[in-house]
Amino acid sequence: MKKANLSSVLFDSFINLILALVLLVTLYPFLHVASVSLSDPYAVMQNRVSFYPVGFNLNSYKSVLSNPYIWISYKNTIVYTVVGTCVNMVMTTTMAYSLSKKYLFGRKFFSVFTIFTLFFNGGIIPNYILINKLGLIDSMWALILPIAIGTWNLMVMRTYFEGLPSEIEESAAIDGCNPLQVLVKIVLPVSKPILATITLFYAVWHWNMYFSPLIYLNDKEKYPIQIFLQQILITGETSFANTVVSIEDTHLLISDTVKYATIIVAILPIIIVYPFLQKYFIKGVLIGSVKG
Amino acid sequence: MRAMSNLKLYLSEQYRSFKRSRFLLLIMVPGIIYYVVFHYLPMYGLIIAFKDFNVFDGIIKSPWAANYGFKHFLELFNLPVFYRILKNTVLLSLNTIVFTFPAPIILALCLNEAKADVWKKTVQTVSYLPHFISTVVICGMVTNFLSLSGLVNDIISLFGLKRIQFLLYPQYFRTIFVATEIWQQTGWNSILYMAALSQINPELYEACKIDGANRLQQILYINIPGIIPTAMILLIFKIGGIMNMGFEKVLLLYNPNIYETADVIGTFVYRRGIVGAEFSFSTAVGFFQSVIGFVLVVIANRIARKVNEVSLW
Repeated sequence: MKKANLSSVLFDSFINLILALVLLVTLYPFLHVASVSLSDPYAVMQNRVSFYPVGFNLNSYKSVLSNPYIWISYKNTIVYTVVGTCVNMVMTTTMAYSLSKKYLFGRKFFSVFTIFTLFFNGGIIPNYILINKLGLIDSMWALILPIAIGTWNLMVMRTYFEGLPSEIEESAAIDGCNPLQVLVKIVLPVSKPILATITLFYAVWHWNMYFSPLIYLNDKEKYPIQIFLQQILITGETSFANTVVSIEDTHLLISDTVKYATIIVAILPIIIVYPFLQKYFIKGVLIGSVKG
Repeated sequence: MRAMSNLKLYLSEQYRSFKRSRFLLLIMVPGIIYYVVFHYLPMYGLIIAFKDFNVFDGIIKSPWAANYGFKHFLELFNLPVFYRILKNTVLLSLNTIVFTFPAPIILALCLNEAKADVWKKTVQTVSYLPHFISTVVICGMVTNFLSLSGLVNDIISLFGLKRIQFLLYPQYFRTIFVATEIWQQTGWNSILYMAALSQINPELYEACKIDGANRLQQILYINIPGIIPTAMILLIFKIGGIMNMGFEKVLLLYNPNIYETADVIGTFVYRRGIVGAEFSFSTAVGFFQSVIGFVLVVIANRIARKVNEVSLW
């Protein structure tokens, strides 16, 4: 008995060690970025920063936040995300509701018609030519309309609607509700969990979008935050980081802490809201997997 | 006569079904227009791969390409770079699949054994987080961590090794790519395995205990067999999607020094098509990728259906 206990304790310790490692490896990059962003540039250069800030100061944040482009791009991203997600939800809900009904005229055809796009697409160039033809270059609609419906999200929502008991809708119809009232007053209120989940998926999609704005937007004033980040973090584009260059001799030092401060500014909203919303995300994955 | 009345019956049934679903069809109109314009029109646009497209003439009026329209494909197949980007695409995907595949399974098995609920929830919540960080931020962190004065080189120099500009040498690229993928997706990908584990019949554990199995044996003989079906299906779909891997991360991380291992079909299409405006040629390249990708996904779906009666259709 004693031996079994010992091996069980060892087993538990081993499991917990692995989990602790996962925790550390996941969090450490964020911790390091935060520490560097709050440190004295000289301490960073001497590699004295690892787990906590050295020579705590907020200068890098001051210089990030005094850059007008971070505000402009932040505002753009919020606009694109809000408008885009609204379009997504209206389009996806209506389509998914219709497809979920067994008696829909041409249901089989419309199902294949939508699902086929998961398997095959025209690719980058035909899409680019289309957006060009539609005159959407440099317009926010170039980022929103081409992804008005995410087919995978559509299927998740359709699966959810199919699972709703048909009796409540039928009784509402007998009570004299027209189809629109049934959808808005009966179906949507009982579907709040899935609506929340899909809304979040879409919002994250818009928030993180990089490639579409890269190819469809030329006007700096319209860039979303991801393009701004790419220019600051990866290309080291100085025309964006005007406040950085002005301090000539310490330029290199500052830019490291400034880069890391930029990362924190960009991901802070997600890190703050994420723990409260994560249960909705997981729900979406699980509903999706039932069908997939 | 019989056929006529059958046809009549069929038509009247269809008409009734149509009448009944008028409202549903009406609210579908925006969605249908969306699919036609933004999915099926670009598919139609693929014909420029067989033409010498120029912006002024448009898709219809542009002349057909030489060699019965296959000029651009022949050009592609004769290009030495083609074999490099094809190889890189397949190898990068395969590496990603092979090395990222076991990680979420191990994590799920460990999480399943964790006793304290708070601890388990904490690890889960934290491990899902990187999934929501944008590719740009991930690549920004990678670029800065791997720079000469970055975190990774700081750690390396602690061991007395020389600092290296990792992103300038082709031999490191695949490792970097796969490592970031593991870091970002392991937690998120463990969700499905956690779900599979929670579906296992508790009686099995009881029976196992009576037989005197320890917890490691429980994992080996109950938990792992319990998640194999899920793992198989996911693996089949991943291999099927080998050609369709996103190239955004490559685009953000690569540079001409490491094209040898990093340049994939997607980035090549971007450079030649969007940057270089060689529309017809790059459409042909993309078309090639789409067709191969489509065939692989369909095959994968067939196999998956055979394996587990689970399918996308």
